Amino acid sequence: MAELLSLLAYGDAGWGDELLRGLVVTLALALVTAPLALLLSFLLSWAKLSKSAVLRYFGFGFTTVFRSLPEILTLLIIYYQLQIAINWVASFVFPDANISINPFAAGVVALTLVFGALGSEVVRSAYQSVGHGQAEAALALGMRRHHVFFRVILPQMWRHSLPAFGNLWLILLKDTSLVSIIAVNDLVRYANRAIATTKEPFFFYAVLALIFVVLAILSGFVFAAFERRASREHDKGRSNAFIAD
Amino acid sequence: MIKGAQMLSLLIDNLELWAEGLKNTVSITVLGLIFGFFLALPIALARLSRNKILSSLAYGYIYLVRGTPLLVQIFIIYYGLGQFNQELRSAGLWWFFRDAYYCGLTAFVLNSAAYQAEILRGGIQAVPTGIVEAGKALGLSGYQSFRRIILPITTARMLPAFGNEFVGLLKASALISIITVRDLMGQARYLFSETFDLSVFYIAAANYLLVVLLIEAVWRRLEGRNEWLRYFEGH
Repeated sequence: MAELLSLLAYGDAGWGDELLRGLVVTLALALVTAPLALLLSFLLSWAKLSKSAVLRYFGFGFTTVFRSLPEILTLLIIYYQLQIAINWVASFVFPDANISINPFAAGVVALTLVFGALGSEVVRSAYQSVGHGQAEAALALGMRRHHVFFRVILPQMWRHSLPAFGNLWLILLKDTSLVSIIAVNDLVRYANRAIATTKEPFFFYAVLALIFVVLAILSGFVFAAFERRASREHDKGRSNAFIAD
Repeated sequence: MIKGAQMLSLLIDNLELWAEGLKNTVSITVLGLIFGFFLALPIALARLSRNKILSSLAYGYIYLVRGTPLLVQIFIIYYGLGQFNQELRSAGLWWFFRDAYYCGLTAFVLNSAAYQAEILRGGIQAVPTGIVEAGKALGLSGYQSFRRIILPITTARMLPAFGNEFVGLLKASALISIITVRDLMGQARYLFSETFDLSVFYIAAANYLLVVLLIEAVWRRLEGRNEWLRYFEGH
C-alpha cells in the first residue's frame, strides 16, 4: 500500500505533480466552458421563446440535436470539422495554410454546444416559472423593458434554476474527462501516462475516481451556499408575511 | 452534392458494418437498462430502509457512481481488473473480464443501477399516503392496494425519468468504443481511420439521432396513457 501511495509523490519520483497539472487543465476546461455555455443557453432559450417561427425552430432543433448525440461524437466532429473549416477559411488568404487546432479549444467549443443546449431548457423553464404577471406588474409600474428583465425576472430565475445548474455543472465536470481522447492533457490523460509507465491501472483509476468525487462534494458545498444566498430575500419575504398575519 | 453522394456510398458500401454497430449499441443499452433495473431495486430499498448502515451504504454507492465519470468506471473495470488476471483466471471469471463488451456492459449495469435507484426512490416516496389509506378504508388487501394503487402511480410518476435514463444510457454507450467494442461509434472510428472521411461521424450522428427520436416518440405515447395522473399533481 505504501508503495502504491509513493507513486503519488510530488516531484520526479511520483506522479503527484503530473496529476495536479491534469487537475488544473480539467478544472480550467470546466470553468471556461461554464460561462460560455450559460451565455449560449440564454440565447437559445430566447430563440425558443421568440415570436419568430424560424428562430423557434432553430432553437428547438439545436437543442434536440446536441441533447441526442453522444458527447464524445460531438467532440470528435467539432475537433475535426473545426480544423477543416479553419483551414478552408485560411486558404483564401494563404493558399497552402495548414493550421492544426488546439484540442483544448475544440473541447471548450464542443462542451459549450452540448451544455448550452442542456442549459437552455433550464433557462426556459425558469423563465416560465417566474410568470407573466410579474413582468406585466413591473411594466405597469413604469419600469423599462431591460429593467424588468434584469431587476425583476432574472433574480427570480436565478433562484429557480440554481439546483438544475448545479446538476449540469456536475455533469460538465465528469464530461471533461472525454477530452483526453483528443489528446488534451487533462487528469485522465496524465493518469493514462502514469499507467503506461507503472502498470498500475486499478490504483490510478481509483485515484481519479476519488478526485472526481471530492470535486463533486466541494461543488455541492458551493452550490448549497449559492442556493442559501439566492433564497435569502425570498425566505425573508415569507417570514415577514407570516409576522404580518 | 458530391459530399452527399460520398456519404451515401460510405453508408451503403458498409451497410453490414453499420448494422452490426447499431445492433451492439442497442443491445448494450437495453441490457444495461434491464440488468441495471434489477440491481437498482435492492439498492433503492436499502436506501429507503430504516437501517442506518444499510441506507448509508446505498447512499455511498449512489454518490460514488454518480460523482465519477463513466469513462473512469469503464477503465477501472476493463483495465483495472485486467491487472488481477491471475486471480480472475483461477476464479474462472477471466473469460468474462477479458471481453470488452462484457466489461462495458458491467460498467453500464453498475452505473445505471445507481441512477435508476434514485428514480425508484423518488417514485416510491411520491405515493400520497392518503390514497393508500383510502384504499385500506375501502377494504383492499395489501396486494390489491399495491397492484391497483401504488404500482400504477409510481410507474406513471417514474416513466419520464426512466425515458431520460434510457436516452442517457444510449448516449453513454458510445464510450465503449474507447475500449474497442464495435458499436455505432466504434464503427465510425474504424471507418474514419480507414478513409479519413469525416462523413462517417455524420452517419453515426444520424443513427443516434434517429434512435433517440424513436425512443422519445415511444415514451410520449406511454406517458400519454397516464394523463389522468395530473389530477393528483394539482396542475
